[in-house]
Amino acid sequence: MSDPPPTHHERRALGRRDDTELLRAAQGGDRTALDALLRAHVDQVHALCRRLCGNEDDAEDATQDALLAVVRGLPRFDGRSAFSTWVHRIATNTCLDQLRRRSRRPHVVRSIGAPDRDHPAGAAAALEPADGHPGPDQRVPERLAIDEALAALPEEFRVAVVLRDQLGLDYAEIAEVLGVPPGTVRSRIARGRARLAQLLEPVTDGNRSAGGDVQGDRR
Amino acid sequence: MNEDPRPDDELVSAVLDGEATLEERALVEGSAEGRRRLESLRSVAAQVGHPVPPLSDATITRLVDRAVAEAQPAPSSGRSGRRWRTWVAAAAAAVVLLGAVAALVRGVGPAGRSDDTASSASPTVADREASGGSIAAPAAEATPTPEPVLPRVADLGPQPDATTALDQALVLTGARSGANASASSSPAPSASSAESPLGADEAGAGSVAADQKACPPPDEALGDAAGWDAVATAELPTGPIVVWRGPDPTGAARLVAVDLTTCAVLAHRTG
Repeated sequence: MSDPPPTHHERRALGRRDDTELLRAAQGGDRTALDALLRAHVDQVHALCRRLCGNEDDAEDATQDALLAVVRGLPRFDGRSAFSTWVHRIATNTCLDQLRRRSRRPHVVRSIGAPDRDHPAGAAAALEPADGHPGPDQRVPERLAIDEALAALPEEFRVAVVLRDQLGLDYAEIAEVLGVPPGTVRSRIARGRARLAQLLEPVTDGNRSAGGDVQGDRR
Repeated sequence: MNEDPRPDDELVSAVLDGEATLEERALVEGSAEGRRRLESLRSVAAQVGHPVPPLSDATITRLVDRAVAEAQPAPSSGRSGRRWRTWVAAAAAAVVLLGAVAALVRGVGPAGRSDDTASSASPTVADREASGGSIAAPAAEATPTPEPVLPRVADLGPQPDATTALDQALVLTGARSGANASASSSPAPSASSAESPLGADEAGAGSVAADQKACPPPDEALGDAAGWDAVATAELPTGPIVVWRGPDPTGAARLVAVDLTTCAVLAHRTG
C-alpha cells in the first residue's frame, strides 16, 4: 500500500518557475523551449491518458493529440491558470474525446490469455465490457483490474479519481481542471472510489456492499 | 442492526486526501468501520495511483517532435512578425515613392528652369524658391509655341449688344487695374473668378485665347499692337466678341469690342 504519488507536487514546486520561463520562450517561437516544455509534461499527460483510456495504444494516441492541442493552443494560453492545470485540462478533454470515439467503435472482448500490447503475457481472465463487473478470477493482475474497474466508472468519477490518485492534484486543482466546484470534486472522488472498491473487491476488500450508489453528483 | 454506522464515504475519502477538517478526521478515525473503510479506499487510491509504465525515450521523442513540428509562430510573435513585415513593406513603398517623386522633380525641375529646355511641368515650391520666387517667367518659358501668351479674360456671358459689353468690361477693367498692378503678366482676374478661383474664365481660357489670336487687337492692323490686352469676351446675339483694352493716344484706357467671327470692330469706348 502506498500513498498517492507526491511526484506531481514536487514537480509542480520545482517546475513552475521553469514552466514560466520555458512557456514564455515557447510562446515567443523558441522551439527548443517548446520541446523542453512538452517533455516536462509528457509523462503526466501520458499517465493521465493511460489511466483514462485503459490501454497503451489509445493512451499514446491521446497523448499525441493532447500534445498537439497544447502546441496549437499555446499562443492563446494567457496564464490565468497554472500551465500544468491547463495541460491537464487539455489532456483530460483529449482523452475523453478519444474514449467517446472509441465507444462508437465495435467493442472488442478479449478472451482469456489473449496477449495484447499492454499485457503481452496474456490476460488471465476474460475481460468484460466496460459496463460489466471485472472477472472474478483472483489471478487477474492488479494493474489489469484497475484498468477495467476504472473503465467501468462513470466518466466524471473516473476523471476525478485519476486526477487525484494518479496525478496527485488537490481538490482545488481538480476543480480548476474540470471547471466544477471543489465540493463536486470531493463528491465525485468519493463516489468513484467507493465504486472502485466495489469493483475491485476480490483484490482490495471483501466487503462488496461497501460501494454505495454511484448515481449522480452530490454538490 | 449496525451499531457502528459507517461514516459517509465522502467524508472518509476527504480524510484520505487530507481535505477534511480535524473534526471530520476525528469522526472517521474514531470509528472502527470508518478506519476499515479508510483503509479500503486507501487501497483503491493506491491502485489508481500505481505508476503507469513510462514511455520510452524514443516514444517521447516521437510524440514531442511531432507536436513541435506542428508549432506555428505564436500569435503574439506572429502578429509582431506580420507587423514588422508590414512596416518594412510600407517603408519600402514610401522610399520608392519618394525616390520616384525626387527623380521626377530632378528630371523636370532643372529642365523647367533651364533656359534651353522647354517644359510644361509646373514648378514646385522648391523650384520657385530656387528661382527667386517667381513662377511667371518659367510659365512663359514653358509655352510650347513661340507666340506670346495671351492673358485669360473675363467671360461676360450673354450681352444684348457690344456697347453694353464694353460698359461691363469697363467696370471690370477698372476693378482689375489695381490687381494688375502687382501681377502685370498674370492672368487677369474676372468677375466670376473673384467669386470662384476657378471660374468660367478659367474653363474658357483656351478658346478665348485662340479667338484672340484669330482676331488680333485692332491697332495691330494699324501696325502697333503693343500694350493691348484682351480683357473680356461676351456672347452677343450676333455672335461672340472679344474686348480689347489698350492705350489711347491721350493716355486713357481704350476698350474695343471686336466681332470674333468677322474681326470687325463693333464698338469702342475710352475710359
